[in-house]
Amino acid sequence: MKFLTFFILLTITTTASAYVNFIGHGYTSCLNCHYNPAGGGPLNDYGRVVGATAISSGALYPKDWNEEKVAYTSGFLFRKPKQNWLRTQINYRGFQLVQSPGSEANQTERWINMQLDGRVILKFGENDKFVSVLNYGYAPLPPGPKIQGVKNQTEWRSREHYLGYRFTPKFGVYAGLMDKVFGLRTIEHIAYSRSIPQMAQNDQVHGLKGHYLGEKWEMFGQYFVGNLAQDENLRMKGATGMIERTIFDIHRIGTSLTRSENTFLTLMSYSAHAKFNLKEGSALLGEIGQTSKDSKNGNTEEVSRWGLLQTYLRPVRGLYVLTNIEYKKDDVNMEDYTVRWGPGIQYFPIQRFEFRFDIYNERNFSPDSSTKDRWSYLLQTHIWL
Amino acid sequence: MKKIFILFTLFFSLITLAEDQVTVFVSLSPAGSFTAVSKKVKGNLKRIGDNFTSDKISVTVESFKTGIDLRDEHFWKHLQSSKASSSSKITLTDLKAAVGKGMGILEVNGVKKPVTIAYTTKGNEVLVKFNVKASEFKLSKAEYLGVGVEDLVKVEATFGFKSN
Repeated sequence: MKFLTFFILLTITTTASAYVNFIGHGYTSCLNCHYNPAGGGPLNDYGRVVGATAISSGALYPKDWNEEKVAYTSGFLFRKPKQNWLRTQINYRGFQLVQSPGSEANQTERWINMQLDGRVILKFGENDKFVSVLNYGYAPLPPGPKIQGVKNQTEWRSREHYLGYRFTPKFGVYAGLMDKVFGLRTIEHIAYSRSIPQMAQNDQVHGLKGHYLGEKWEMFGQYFVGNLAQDENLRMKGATGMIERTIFDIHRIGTSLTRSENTFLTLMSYSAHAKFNLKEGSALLGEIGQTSKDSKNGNTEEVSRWGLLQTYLRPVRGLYVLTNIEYKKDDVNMEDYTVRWGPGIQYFPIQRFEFRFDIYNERNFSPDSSTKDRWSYLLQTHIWL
Repeated sequence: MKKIFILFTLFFSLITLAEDQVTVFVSLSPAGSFTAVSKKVKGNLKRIGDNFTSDKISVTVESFKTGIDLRDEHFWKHLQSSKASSSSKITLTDLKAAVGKGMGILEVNGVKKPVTIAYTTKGNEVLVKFNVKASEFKLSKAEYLGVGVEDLVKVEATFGFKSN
């Protein structure tokens, strides 16, 4: 049970959250709303206004506020910044995790403060062509004693810090500690498509990233040397790349490839994904992929596969109804596989607040038997200032 | 059974009923797009033989919806940004078309320009397509907090028509 809690704690958080489903609002690229062209991390001014006027419900604003007023108050401290070069943000996430709900013997529940970040952005030049992003904050350590031999086990650390320069609106280079670019950056880092290829919330790396954004194509290439805060033998060094193409003007398809290794392990993953704009804020997301994990010490190789299908339906402004279906096969040579599915509701009652309720049902299947269902639910709170 | 048949026929009729509509496809910079849709189209399109004609088809600027209220307001303001604009309508006049092609005079922001259209018909509906450059209608480059609008805009319009 402790391991399961630890696993969910590791995977559920959305440190550098991205909302891929916002392709349903017509935004095919993350660059419109984020300083990081691959998404996640601080929102730019446009992203904050979109959050206030398109994503969040307008029901709780004073009746004499028009949309311009709502947009004006989307800035830090509820006002429009007086200068163009400095932005600050605070971001908090916490959730109530309930496992085996309704079971007298097994039900557990706890509140977890998942993330408290302070963000400072310096930006200069036309269209913010030079950006410097520092994202420092709190993330809980796994429960239990600290792991022997691993340094820097602290709850306060830099989530990301990087410099970026866009030579042209189409091409930019970014250097520093960032998330790796790979596949769909779904908000659920519990997703197998994030955890199996090690693209989850604590897998940032130091490196150099190039980004090209054309009329139809968007490409990323990233070379990395691991997270320098880790012991050297643990750092995953390698490269990753992703290509996306816009189809039928409003949808996107893409493919990703990554390879990395440290003293103990070599990882190689590839995936294909699609993002469909269902209009009016609704979207359909899908991804399939494979990861091969080569253990150097034991000289063993394990190949895993996964699939993800998500629907986001937006009946009214501020509300998204989710359906999530996932599949994984930890070892393609075995017949066991796992399916996880569940509905969810994501509600933005007013700018700066997100509440989310997810139900997860997970079951492992094998030719001879299947495990009992594992149920859990999450009540998540996200506040950004 | 009879009621079910009537209901089915009514439902099928409703979903296949021609609805006049103008859709403007706008590309964003650095990426993305949005559509502005108006279903409040006024005017008549006539078919005489293989020819289509219309004296005037118009749509009010404020009838366009883009999916975001703030963007609606910006869209409306931008389309009437010129001092020459005395009307809040977009009009297509003197439309003459045959064999899938045609010409008309488009007025946006108080500026009149001839436009070449392409069209296809399906039943009593005609789908008209044409591209325009916003700059040709004295519309300045639109930008909001670093996100801009591409100059070339695609327009699609669906009209029902009367045959004479």
